[in-house]
Amino acid sequence: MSEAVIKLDNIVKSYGKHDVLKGVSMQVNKGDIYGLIGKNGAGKTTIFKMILGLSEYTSGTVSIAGSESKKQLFANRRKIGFFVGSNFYGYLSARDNLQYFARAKGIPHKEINKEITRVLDIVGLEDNKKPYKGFSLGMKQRLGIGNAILGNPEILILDEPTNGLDPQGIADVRHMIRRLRDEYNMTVIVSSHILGELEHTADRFGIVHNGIVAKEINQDDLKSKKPEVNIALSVKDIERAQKLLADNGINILHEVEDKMTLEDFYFDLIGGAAD
Amino acid sequence: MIKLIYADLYRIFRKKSFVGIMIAFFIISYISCLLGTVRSDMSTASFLDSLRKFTEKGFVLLLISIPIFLAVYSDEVSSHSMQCIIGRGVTRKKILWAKLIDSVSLTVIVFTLYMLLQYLMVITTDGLKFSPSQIGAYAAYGLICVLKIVAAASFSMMVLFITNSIPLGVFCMILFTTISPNIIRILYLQGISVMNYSYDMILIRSMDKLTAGASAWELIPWSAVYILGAWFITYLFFRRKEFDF
Repeated sequence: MSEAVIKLDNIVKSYGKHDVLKGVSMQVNKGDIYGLIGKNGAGKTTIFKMILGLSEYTSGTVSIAGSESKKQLFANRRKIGFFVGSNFYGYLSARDNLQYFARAKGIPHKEINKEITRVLDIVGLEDNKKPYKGFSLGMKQRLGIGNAILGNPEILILDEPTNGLDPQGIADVRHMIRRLRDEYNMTVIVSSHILGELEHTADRFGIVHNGIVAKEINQDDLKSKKPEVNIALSVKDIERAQKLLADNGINILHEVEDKMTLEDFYFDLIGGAAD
Repeated sequence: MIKLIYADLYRIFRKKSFVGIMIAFFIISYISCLLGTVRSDMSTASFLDSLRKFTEKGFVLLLISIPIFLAVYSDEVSSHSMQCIIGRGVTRKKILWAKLIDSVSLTVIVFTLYMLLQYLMVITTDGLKFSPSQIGAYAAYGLICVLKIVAAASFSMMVLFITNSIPLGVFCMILFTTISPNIIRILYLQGISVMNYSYDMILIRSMDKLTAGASAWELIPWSAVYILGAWFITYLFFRRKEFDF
């Protein structure tokens, strides 16, 4: 049985008579990349706030890394790194901002510089010396992710990490998430309202709708939805292909005149990769 | 908590505007004090009195207290960095204690440097020399100023963290540092002066006692009541505060 690193059981969050979360239950297992999906305002960020202790839940229980008491819950939050927006001091450089958080997080003094260099290298900000207030949106997002992975946490929470990024930035974040799980054994929870973005990144998904996690599915569920196997063929002579398939008893469901996508053009031109 | 305090102090001393304002303040206050206060024909006692009057002009305390308040408290609110610390399992109580200790530490450091500069002025001026009792009175005066700034910062922190409004927090800091004694002085409740029960009056009375070489033990419990009282009220609001990203 999989080991649950984050477990929410019937979490309710109310503001007066208005229930924002109406009984959220979800489980994230060790080693998962868990995609939390839902439209804007569905409650994804509120769920993260409950996990991180930035907002109190009205009822229910939250367990992190098997915590069974409030005290353990507090202590185990130290195992989480998270990105929920770029919360940095405008007058400090990327390195100085990370110095502050590294000290506050209790990373041993001797390891701080080495750890910051490692993190800045991962997020591609190693040579940047200017103050944070002069950063582009993409750089701010990268530094936010850098802060999240500072100290090599066991659990990583990323709230809409690709917001405002260009196509290359989005592709980089996807790569980074997989790398952090595969190379650093992190369990990742990542939210987005763009379904296509998470489909190829996450292993499991929680669909947030109307203040609850309406369904949890995994990649196998996505594959098993359709009983027949569909294959796509790229052919130049459509009439010959139709005849060939019909002669062999294979049905053609639909024909699509395929066009280049904007992403294809973009990555063909600049030489990057979407996946 | 020590790591949090260390991180905060590291951050504040990396803030160029804070360090720049402090250096400019030291230079300006030294020169203006030198030009306006020091005369070779004055006694050390009258010199000490002049220094006190110079510091009490208000702008000295404001120039020290506002940058400290902005660096310790306001930057935290404007950057939302506190959320990152809470999310990593640091309790809200520890954060508030760290903030209080930050403001005490910074005020002590800055005010000590300011007073050392004044002391330097004395020992480099012909004919002036502090007697041991004057040094004691001088140090007592420093302590009173530090307590005044820390108390003002604690009350302003309370307003800032409850309302989340930086301008209101800064306004309170100005109010508590310079304006409030003048307002309280003219306030009477059923014929009794409010000033008699204010923290400013406690500081003034304690200063008089310390200058006269007497004990002012009541300063400790009263300071605890005012400063820790403000801290506790802040905590009551802060412990359940909802944070946005």
